[in-house]
Amino acid sequence: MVLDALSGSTPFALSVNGVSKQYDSGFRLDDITFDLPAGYIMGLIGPNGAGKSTLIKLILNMVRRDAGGIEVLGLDNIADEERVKEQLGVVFDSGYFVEVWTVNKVEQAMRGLYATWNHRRFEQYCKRFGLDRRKKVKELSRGMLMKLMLAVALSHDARLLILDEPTSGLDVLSRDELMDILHEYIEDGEHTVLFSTHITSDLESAADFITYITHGRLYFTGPKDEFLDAFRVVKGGLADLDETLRAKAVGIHRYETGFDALLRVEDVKALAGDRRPQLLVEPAGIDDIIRLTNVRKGNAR
Amino acid sequence: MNAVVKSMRVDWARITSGGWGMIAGYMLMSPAMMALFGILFGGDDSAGAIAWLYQYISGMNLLMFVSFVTFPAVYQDTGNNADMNGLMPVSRRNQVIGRYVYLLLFGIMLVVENTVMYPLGFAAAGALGTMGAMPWRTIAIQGLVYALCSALVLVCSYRFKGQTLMYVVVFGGSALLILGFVVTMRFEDQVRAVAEWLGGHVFSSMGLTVALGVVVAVIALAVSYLASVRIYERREM
Repeated sequence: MVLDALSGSTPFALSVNGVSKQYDSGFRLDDITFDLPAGYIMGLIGPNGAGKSTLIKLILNMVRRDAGGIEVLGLDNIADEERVKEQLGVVFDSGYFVEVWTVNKVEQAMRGLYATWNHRRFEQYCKRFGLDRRKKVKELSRGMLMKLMLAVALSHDARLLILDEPTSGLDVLSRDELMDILHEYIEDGEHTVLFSTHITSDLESAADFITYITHGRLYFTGPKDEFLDAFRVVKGGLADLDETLRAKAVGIHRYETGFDALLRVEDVKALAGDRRPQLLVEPAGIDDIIRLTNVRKGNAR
Repeated sequence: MNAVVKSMRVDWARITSGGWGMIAGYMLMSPAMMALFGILFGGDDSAGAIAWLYQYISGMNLLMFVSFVTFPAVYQDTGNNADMNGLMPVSRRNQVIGRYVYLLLFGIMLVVENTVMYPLGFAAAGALGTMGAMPWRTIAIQGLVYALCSALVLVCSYRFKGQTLMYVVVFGGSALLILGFVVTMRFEDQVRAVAEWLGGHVFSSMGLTVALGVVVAVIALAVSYLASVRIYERREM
């Protein structure tokens, strides 16, 4: 399925092309480029402060970009802003409704915004999620608030769903439920999800593509399996941590009795040629890659 | 569905966040007070008292309607509701237009309410026969003051957030009043001379006065609108 998308036969739901943004604080999101084919889930990952939320705000035209272009469903996100947002559903990590609104009032406010609003579908999601329509937003738990935002996003037939850290603070059951809903959502091949998170276990099973940003720069974008296959974690004792390994490692985490190093697969093969049977080579998880590509320099000495 | 109407619907949901009862209370408080005081002051010699009372209650109503203009901004600044402006399928310019349409609608409601309140007070006092002419001059001045104040307050609501907006409106408004008072006292002769000249050459003609008032209101609203769009389009959410 991912191969179809890569062959170019699938249209892009989202195209980010050379986007940059400089803040007065000094933080810079630098030359970000990636494409998300329609009908897939892309995980947008990176450590806190990497620029994930800034990128989402740039897609939503909530902050102004300094350079580059963004197309959503083939439309420019600024020139065609209203048409673009008609087709977008967004879930943030915190609620964006007035706190004294009831669930009923939320629907009243939101249905006026979308020509495609489906009252029956909203009702179904409220029932499925156990949302009491008389409850005020401020009375909802974090999980229920996320479900309310999701119900709104899914009730106007949004073609691209953007989720910014929706699972932070949620228990494992709620996170599983969310993943199930996302899989249902993309089933028809018409709907697409961009999912920003630092809880990467959510993505291990759900994401088709990964875009990894760190320190405001794009580190990787492409199929998730390609991302995971590109790296290995090498473990050993401190005595094994020689100059050759240091030079090849993308990142090294030293601890009292040994180290974990992240290496590209081709470098691991080269190391194998050096005959180092004492080194343990394991597949890298998304967390390993993020952790070891962001390891503090002092840790690697 | 028109984008401006969409934006106005969301703003209406914000304005009515405290419930319809609160809005009805706000809207009907001044006419209800006028009627109540009319009943209390009822009698053949109540005309002077009703006319005097009208100046205060209609002035209070004016301030109430100016405060209405800030309601969407006040509610959007609670929690993260401002994020909703970034998600809704309405451009920032159209969102601003929606707020200025509300400003005009509230202005029309203010003029209608203040027009109805005068005979209402006399009717409640049982002295409708002694009412005399309608105070059109007062109503027109109130309309102009509303346009100027709300134009200023609305542009401030785009420049300042939540509590800062309140401070700016309360302290900035007070400072302007005090400044006006001090200038008037300090340059009493010059102010009087200008006022007399205006009274003799401009305000002596009803048509010219109305035209001038309309022009001033339109310019104030146009400048306010353009400034609001400029501020809001540059703002990062």
